[in-house]
Amino acid sequence: MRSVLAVTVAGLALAVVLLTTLIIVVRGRVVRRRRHEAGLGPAAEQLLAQFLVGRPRVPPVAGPDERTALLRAALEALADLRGSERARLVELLKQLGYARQAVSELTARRRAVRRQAAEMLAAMAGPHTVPALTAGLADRDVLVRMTCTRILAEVGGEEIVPLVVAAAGRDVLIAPGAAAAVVLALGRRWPAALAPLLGPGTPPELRAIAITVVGELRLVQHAPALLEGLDDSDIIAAGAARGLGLIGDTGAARALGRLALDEHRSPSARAEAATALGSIGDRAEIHVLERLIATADWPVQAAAARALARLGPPGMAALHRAAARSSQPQVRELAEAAGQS
Amino acid sequence: MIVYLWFVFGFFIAFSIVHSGLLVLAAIELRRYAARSSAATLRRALRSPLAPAIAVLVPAFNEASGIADSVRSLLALDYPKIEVVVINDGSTDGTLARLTEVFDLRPVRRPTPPYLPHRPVRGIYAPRSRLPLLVIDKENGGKADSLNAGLNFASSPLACSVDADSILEQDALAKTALPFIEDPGRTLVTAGMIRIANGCRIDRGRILEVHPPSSRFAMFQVVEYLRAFFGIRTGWAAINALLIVSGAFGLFRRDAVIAAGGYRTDTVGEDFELVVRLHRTWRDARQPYRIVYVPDPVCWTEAPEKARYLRRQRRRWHRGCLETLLIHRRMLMNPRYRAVGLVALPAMLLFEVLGPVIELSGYVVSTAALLAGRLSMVGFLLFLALALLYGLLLTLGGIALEDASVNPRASWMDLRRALLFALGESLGYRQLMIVWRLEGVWQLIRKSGWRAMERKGFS
Repeated sequence: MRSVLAVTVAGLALAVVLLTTLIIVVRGRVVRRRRHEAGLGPAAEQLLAQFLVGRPRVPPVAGPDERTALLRAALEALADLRGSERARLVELLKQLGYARQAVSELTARRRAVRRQAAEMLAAMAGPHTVPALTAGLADRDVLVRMTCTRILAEVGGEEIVPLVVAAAGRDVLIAPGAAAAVVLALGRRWPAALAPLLGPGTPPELRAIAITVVGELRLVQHAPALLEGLDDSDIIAAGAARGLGLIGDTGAARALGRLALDEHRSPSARAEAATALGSIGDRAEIHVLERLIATADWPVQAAAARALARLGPPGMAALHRAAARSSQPQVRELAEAAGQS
Repeated sequence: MIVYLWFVFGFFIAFSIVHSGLLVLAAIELRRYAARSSAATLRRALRSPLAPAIAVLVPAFNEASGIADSVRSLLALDYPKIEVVVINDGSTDGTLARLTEVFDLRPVRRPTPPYLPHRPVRGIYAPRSRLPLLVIDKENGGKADSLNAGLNFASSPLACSVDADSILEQDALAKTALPFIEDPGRTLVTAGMIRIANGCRIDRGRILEVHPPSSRFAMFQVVEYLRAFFGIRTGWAAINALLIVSGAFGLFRRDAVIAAGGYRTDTVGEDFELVVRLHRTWRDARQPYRIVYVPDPVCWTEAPEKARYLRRQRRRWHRGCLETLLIHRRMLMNPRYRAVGLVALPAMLLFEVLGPVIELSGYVVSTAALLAGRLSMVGFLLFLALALLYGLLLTLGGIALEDASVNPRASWMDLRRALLFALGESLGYRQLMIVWRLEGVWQLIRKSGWRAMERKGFS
């Protein structure tokens, strides 16, 4: 036993020594790098500030570390800048060769470098970056692809839209959040381009995202597509109902009422429909909301009570009528709470 | 005796192999995280109208002295859609009065949603201003009961449980929410890093300067947390088998927690139990899901500095661990639950529950073998060296991973102290923890079951 123990202990001791050495080396590098950056960062920020307040000449950038520090400061600034200041800073980065660098790094072997390059191009986004971004759509890495797709949606011309739609559809299962950001960008710039994504032929995941985006951006022209969505699966119907409520489409009130009353649908879809009825404000549907108060599903009841409260005195009267009829104490609680709000 | 010592030796080897594997997985996961995370991604997510709203649930029992600062700092976090729900769990020190005074609260009427049961609510309060704050005043029922009340009354799709005395970094919520934005359909829970705030300069609920604690017990816990969060939890999360999301800071999909039945009030390890139950529910339903550990967002918490509080905490943790394993014993070695059932839970049973017994018995048996002349002095010392080195190696792994992480907080002074305490941890502290953890088991056995828990709050 002694020899086995001795070998194991010796092995562990060696591992401890090696790991301690590694930690000391790595920590040394981290501390040095941090100290170095602490000096370069403020200097780079000062250079950029001087440039932006009117010093016309290009700031001098000495070594690679200074270049990196300037780029970092510029990317931070670009996130907050708008208008002519942003345009000037992008122009400066182009003059200093950063745009060229990003374009060339977008085809680098290392994934991390390509991701960084895509983010750089995203920050400097403009028509000049379109060819490189289009090439980035074929990247092996989904994050690089999706970043390029999103920026193309933001800065590309109308001819690029089919490519963007196809790319979002291809990656929606792998990167749903990134695909949502693409659809959002598309909806903001090319609202009409969302039409093919809202039809039943689109993958349900992408369709659900498109429906949410239409509602969030209040894209009235797509209200008929949302109306169709009310007959789809519960997830899509809930999103469509929410969207119709945000848009305030009075023409959708009857369909929303039908969805809210349909006991075969999920409580969340029915609750969204009831909430939308309150947002739309069509008093003709008060009787629907009054019936919903008697339902057994709490989310639907609560949504209906809130919706009735939004419909003013006739809605409140209906809510109190429903509460008086109901034997459920929670309905009275709902009516009292709605009365206070 | 010698046969038993061979068994203990085998246990050490198994422990080292599993934990070395976790360190490797953690290193891969940290690398993956570093490649994905960027300031631009975070900023974009925060500006997106698709970012889900978060309810920050703050259970409070006798927190009058610090609750106002805590709430103020939570309301100021960098996240676009936030509601803070404070659940006053029958405090007797004027917590509610303090909140009322500082935030100008008035009573409001809110119907009680019937999703999760909890102790009766005495009143609900909201500020006269438009601050997104709701205060629920309820009868004392413990932390789990308070969280259930918070889950009921919150209206956001995500819920974040935060201890009243914890401090979140400004962007912690945003970073923890990112996996929900990136993959909203599958993400159930995200957990963040917990660090020890003892020694730091704190003002009005914000960390101004980070310093290592001066207390020895707190410093030992710094070393423990580094190992647990950077090494072990990141490693388990890499194979979607993370079992513990600290009650001090975890972000959950609210509907998922409600669907799983909320927090159990009959266990002292309610946070651990909930996460295991979420794994179980989603695996049973054969639905894809992920429970993510995000190694960058930080929640600062105060560690117990006095032995009696630390002892109480460790006894409670160990008891909670054992209770959860008993509740979900059917998951153990069950292939239906994949990595959770086949690896993570058995590892928890072997190394966390049985580990203290095996290690302690190893010390006793080796000493007895030495005294009986069955083990030489060299053999005995080698045995002790083994126990010391394996703990030290794991801690060093945690420190190395922190240095390689996205946001290392490295300094030479911290390293010197951490190395010193990592060494010291194996020479007394760990053995003390073993005894306290065994006391937790004894408590569980003596109290004849885990259904009748005392409810005294959680200050």
